[in-house]
Order: sequence, then structure tokens, then C-alpha cells
Amino acid sequence: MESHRPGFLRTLWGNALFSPKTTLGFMRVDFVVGEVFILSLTQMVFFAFVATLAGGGPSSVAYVVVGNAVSSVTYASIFSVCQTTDSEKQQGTLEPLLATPAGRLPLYLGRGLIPILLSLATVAVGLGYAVGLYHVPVAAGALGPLALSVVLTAFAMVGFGLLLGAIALFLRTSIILGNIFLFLGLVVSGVNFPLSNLPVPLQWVGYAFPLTWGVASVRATLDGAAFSQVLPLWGYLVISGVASYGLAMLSLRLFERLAYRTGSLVRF
Amino acid sequence: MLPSSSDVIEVTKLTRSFSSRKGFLFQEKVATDALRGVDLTVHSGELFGLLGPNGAGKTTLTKILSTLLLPTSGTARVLGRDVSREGAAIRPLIGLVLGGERGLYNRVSGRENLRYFADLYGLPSGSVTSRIREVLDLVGLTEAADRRVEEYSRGMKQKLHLARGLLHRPPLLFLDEPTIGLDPRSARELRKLVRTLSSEGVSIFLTTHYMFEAEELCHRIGILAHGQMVACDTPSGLQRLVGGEGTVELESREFDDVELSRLRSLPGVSRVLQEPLGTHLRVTLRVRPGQWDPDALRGALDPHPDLFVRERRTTLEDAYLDLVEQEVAA
Amino acid sequence: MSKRPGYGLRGIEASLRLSLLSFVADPQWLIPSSIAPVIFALASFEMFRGSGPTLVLYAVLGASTMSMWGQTLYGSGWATGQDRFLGTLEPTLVAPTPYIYVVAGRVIWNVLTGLVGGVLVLGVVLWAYGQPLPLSNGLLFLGLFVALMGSLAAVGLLFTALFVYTRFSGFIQNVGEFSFYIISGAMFPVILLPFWVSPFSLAFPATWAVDALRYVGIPGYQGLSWGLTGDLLGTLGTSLAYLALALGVFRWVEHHLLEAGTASDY
Repeated sequence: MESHRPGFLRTLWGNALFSPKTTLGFMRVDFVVGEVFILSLTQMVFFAFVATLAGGGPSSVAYVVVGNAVSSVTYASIFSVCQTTDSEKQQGTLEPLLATPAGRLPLYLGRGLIPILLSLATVAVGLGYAVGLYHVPVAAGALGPLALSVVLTAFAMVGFGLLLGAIALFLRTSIILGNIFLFLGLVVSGVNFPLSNLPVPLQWVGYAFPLTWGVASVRATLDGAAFSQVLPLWGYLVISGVASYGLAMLSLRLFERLAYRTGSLVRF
Repeated sequence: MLPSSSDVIEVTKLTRSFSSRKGFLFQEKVATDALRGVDLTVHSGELFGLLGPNGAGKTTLTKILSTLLLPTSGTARVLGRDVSREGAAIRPLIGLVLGGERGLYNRVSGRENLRYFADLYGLPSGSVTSRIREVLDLVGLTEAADRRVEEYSRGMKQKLHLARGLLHRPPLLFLDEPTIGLDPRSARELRKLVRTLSSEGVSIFLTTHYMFEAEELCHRIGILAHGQMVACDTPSGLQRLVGGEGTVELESREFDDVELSRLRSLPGVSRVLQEPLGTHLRVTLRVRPGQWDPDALRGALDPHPDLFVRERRTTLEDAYLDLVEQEVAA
Repeated sequence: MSKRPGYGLRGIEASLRLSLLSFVADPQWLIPSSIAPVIFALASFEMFRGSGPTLVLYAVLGASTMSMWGQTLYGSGWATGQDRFLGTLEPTLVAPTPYIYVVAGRVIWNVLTGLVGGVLVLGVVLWAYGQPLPLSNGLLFLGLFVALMGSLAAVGLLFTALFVYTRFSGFIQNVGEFSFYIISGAMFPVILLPFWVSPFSLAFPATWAVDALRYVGIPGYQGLSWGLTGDLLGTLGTSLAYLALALGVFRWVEHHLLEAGTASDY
């Protein structure tokens, strides 16, 4: 017997590059351009015009464009990660994949690496639009903390995407869940209007969503808020991110087992 | 109106090239010739089989003839009409059955699939229900007609494909590997159905990988290799074409070149082929019955303690492999 | 036999029926295409809150338009993608009914199902927020709404031709959805848009139709300055132009598919 269980890093790295290429077309120019450069812009422009029509209040144009720049992270983090499992099902590659002895943790975590990079790029480009097109001011010395906010947001949101993607092992598809969470942040995460506008139960939904803390921390760092004000936001972001990854791994084990029991690996 | 000509398919010097791109940013265009000057005629009422290895161009030819693909050059006429210019006129007259699991709407029932295509084929509204019932009955899917297609087995899907192809009673039917992946019983039922259709006067153009299927069903068989028609004849004609209706197989650990040369020069032996067989070597001779001498054959060989000799009829598979290998060698 | 009459209507009817049956078999697919416009409208409505009843109409009308467009774009793209994935594009193309009629049936179905998003937002506005919807002439509004649906179907037909042609339908959908929300002025008057966007905006039939609907729904509305009649003529003219364009493009696309042999690619 020559075959043995592949190592953690080998599985992680192999999946990081191979999975997005085969399931999402991440290596296609149109995909990257559309996701990173166009979607973030069009969504932002749309809400900027709505803010203009609404005529001030808490939803100023500057408020809205920053919120949308950060919320565009959902395309690369939530939607794309959810889509990998769906795509494996459709191609019929999920069963052979799970029949391998590869460790599940690196197998699934690997799928999040390229989405994290794309998420970073999407938010960076979105903030670039906000500053370049809408002249959103950036406080002096804000770049470092801002970068950290963006990195933590991307990391936490991909964890959330993995959590949703886990459910696709059991459900016919996770695209529907992905679609709901793709845009839910626009209402519950303080992207276009303050969270306090919402009824209390919806506010709690917002608090459980990493995007809410990502938007808040980016806003705070752009405004040059004191370290003591930003630190708790980063803390919440890290907690929600770590919780997302942890729950994602638990869910993957649970739903994989359920899928074996129900035969849902081939159902899409 | 059907054409008065007795040929339902007339193909002359047909070629088809595909181009694809390689690379990411600086892409390179790659051209592949799928068909290279194919000539072919299929007569009215004939059951014509097309054989060929993977990538030989069978599906390309079927798609061109069924109006799904335009040729690069040459002409193809189906039921007297040019496939390049008169596709719309050909479509109501032909049925196309593509093999495999794909090609059906999985989330609706078999009956609804047929109903949809009955409308697209413009069947008279009053006869849609009864015609669907007829074809379902014909292919043996009546009981499963109202189940979702996603619940069908592969064989049932294949039957539904055939039912769809027959809905509008086409005088010419294209069957692209109709029994691929079917269990022996389903495949046999499908072959029986094809024979029945043929006996009712439907002209059939069948592609298959199964030699016995072609031999059992087809009036004439064309062999396509590397985009060229290397032979086209009746099954027995093809066997004669490769040098005789008899085959003798010799197996031993070793045959030297002198022995092989002596075998080639024997009267009644038209072809000598050799292939490795694990630790042994197999030499296959195509022989003309009555013209070869078994004693002379043994005399041409040095003493072999492990010699194994077997005489049998030349099969279509032998003919096919000989012809395809000749083409590869050429 | 080859020129049998009735392929068109039979084809549209068959395609509508198949869309209905597929929807009934798995209705959850309505969610992905409806969710974005509904959430966009809810977010916009929240931003408009306290700005007067006029903006409520903006939110509801905008949600309906965006939902119908989202459904048309994604539904038609999805159906075409499914046709390729399931391998049903080839059997459909080989049938004598021109493919454009099959697509037309799907587009009509998608526009109709897109109404769900509008109804959802209307429900939220009326019941959850308790906001009244100001409408002065309900019948005319309804007629104009049908015109809006027709105009969206015409544009949807052209876009679907592109989906049949290219495998990059995801890119077209992503670009087409949000760009449309902006340039059609579904949620805000197009007067807010930069001047250079005007030609694109006016070339979209829905821009005219939405403007006409606002004329009827909002007292004293000053829209594209050609008045209601101008809006109606604009809707009709641009819709017909899209329809003619779609017919031509479909003929070309079908020819291209046969030439390139890409109908079975996925």
C-alpha cells in the first residue's frame, strides 16, 4: 500500500488553487472584473442616488457609499464560497472528493483562501471608488487601521460563507441562502442607514452578522476614531469571524454525516 | 412532401473544422479537423450504421445531418434539402435521438416533456394526447409517464429520448449511440424497437460503438476514422474487404520474423497481424475459406511447445479494427 | 409541411407551460432573483422614510420594476444555462419552432413572476409600515404597468439572445442588473443622473414606462418633460426597437450556434 493520508498543508494549498478554478471560474478575467470592479461600483452608485433623493438625514451620500463599499465583500465571501459546493454537486465531483482520505478541515478551509484575497480586493476597490468618486474624507493616519479593518472583515466574512456553504452538503443548494445573505446586510448591517432605525429583533440579527462590525470598524477608522473606540469593533469582528469558522467546521461535519445518511450529495 | 429520390442522405466531400483557444491572456487559436472530405449516401428505408473510434467525427456528422451544425465545406442533403440553407425545412421531417442522460427536462414528467416537444413540432392539437399515449406505449413508458424525469433510470430516459424522436412520425430518424450505458435487457428492447421502425419503412441513421449491434441491425455500415469514411458496405462486405471471412489465431511465447514472413506468403492468407498478449504473442491471419491449408500453416512454423491455434469466423469487430488500424498506419 | 402555421403561438404557449410546471416543481428558485430587488427596495424605503408619501410610490414602483427586471435577467439567463446544462438546447433547436418563441414564453413568465417582488414590497409598505399608496387613476396605472411589463419583456428578449450566444452570462447578468437599476431611474428620477448617461437611459423602454407611471401616481410630477403622451410613445417606440433588434440578433445567434457548434457546450 503506497497511498496514505495527504498532509494538512498539501490539501489546503491544493484546494486553495484548484477548487476556485474548477468551480467558480475565478481564473476568468470576466469573473474577476465583474466581481471586483463592477458590482461594487454599481451597487454603490445606486444607493448614492437613492440617498440623494432621500435628501439627507442619517443616510448621507458619504455614509451610504462607505457602507456599500464594505458590503460588496459579500459577493466574494458569501456568494462565491457557497457556490463552490453547489458547483461540485452539479459537476458530480463532490462524491469523488469526499471519498478521498483528505482531511476535511484543510479541504474546506482551502476553499476560502482565494475568496479572502478577492474579498480584500473588492473592499479596497470599493473604498477607492468612495474616496475617488464621492470624495469621502480619510482621516490622517487612518490607512493602517483601515487596512486591518478590511483584512479582518474579509477573514470573518469568508468564515460566514463557509458556514452557509456547509449547508449545501445537505440541502439541494445553498445558493438561495447565499442570495439572502448576499443582500441582507444592506438592511441589517448599518450599510445604508443606522442599525438603530430597525426593530430590536432585526438589530440582533445584525449584531450576529460579521458584516455589521466590518462596516462599523471601517467607518470608525476612516473617521480617525480613537484606538479605544476601534478596538472593541475589531474584537467583535474577530469573535464573529472565529465563531463563523468554528461553526462552519462543526456544520460541515454534521451536514456531511447527514448527507451520507440521506444521499443528498448527488441532489441538486 | 418528401423528395422522390431514393436517397434520404447525400453527402459529398463534407468537411468540418473546429477552432478553440488555449491560454489565459495571450490565447492561441487551435484548429481541429473533425471531418475531412466525407462522402456518403443513405437510401430510403435503409438502416445505416456509422461506426468509428472516439473522436472519429460520428457525432459531428450526425449533428450536421440533423441541422445542428453547419459544415465547413462540401454538401450534405437530407431528404433532398441542403442542410446549410434549408435547415428549417428539414427539421419537421427528421427525428433526433441523442444518447445519454442529458437532453430532457428533469423536473417535469415524461409526459410533459413529450407534450412540450409535441407543441414545438407543431403536431395537430387534437392529436397530441393520443400520439403521446401511442409513443409512450411503443417505448414501454406508459406506467412511468407521469413521474418526474429525475426519477427515471438511464434506460427509461433513453426510451423517452426515442419517444420524443418519434412523436411527429419522421420519415428519417437519427440515433446517436442510443443504447450506450443501457443494461442488456433494455438495450435488447431498444434494438427490437429500432428493427420494428425500420421494418415500417422509417429510414434510420444510427451511430454506435457496439459491433454486434451494428451487425445485427444495419443494412449497411460506414466506418469513420479520423474524419474520413474508410469503408462503407454491408456487414459481410466489410468482412470480405479485410481479406476473408475466416480468421486463424496463433498464440505462443515467441514468433520470429522468418516465421511471420513464411505465414504471409502462404496461399489463401490475405493478412497477418501481430499483437502482444501479456507474456505471449498473438498472430492473427485473415484467411479465405477453402483456399488455405492448415497443414501448410503448421509447416510454416518452427516447433512451438506452447503453440495454441484457433480458427473462427471473421467478425465485424475484426473488420472494424483492421480498417481503423490501417487508417491510423496510413 | 415545413411552413406550418402556428409555430409561434404554440411555441410561446408550450414554453410558458413548461416554465410554470418547472416552477411548481421547485418554486424556491424564485427567491434568488427576487431577493435583491426586494431588499434594495426595503433599504431604499427605509432611507425615504419621513420624506413624504410620494417617495413610498418610488419605493414600491422601483421594487416592482427592479424585481421584474431581476427575474427577467436571471430567470432567462438561468433557463438558457439550464438548457445547456441539461442538454436540452440541441433538441429544442432541432425542433421546427424557432427558438425565439421558446425564449419569448420564458421571458413572459419571468416578467410575471417578477411581480412577486413588487407585491412583497407593497405588502411590507402597506401592512408593516402602515403607509398608504397614493394612486390617482388606478385603471390607467394598471394599463401602464402592463406596458412596463411588455417593455421589460422586449429588453429581456434581447438579453437572452446574448445568453444563448455567450457562456459569460453571469458577467452580463451582474453588469446588466445593477446598471439597469441605475439608468432606468427605477428608484429615483433620471434627472439625478449625469448628462452623459441620458442617451443610455432614454434608450431603455422601462425608463419611459416608469416615468409614465409616476405621472399617473404622483400629483404634479415633472419627469422627462415630454409628458405622459411622450412617455407612452417613448415606451412603445423603444420597445418595438428592442423587439426588432432581438429578432435580428436571434437569427444571427442561431446561425452562429450552428456554425460554431457550441449548442452543447456548458
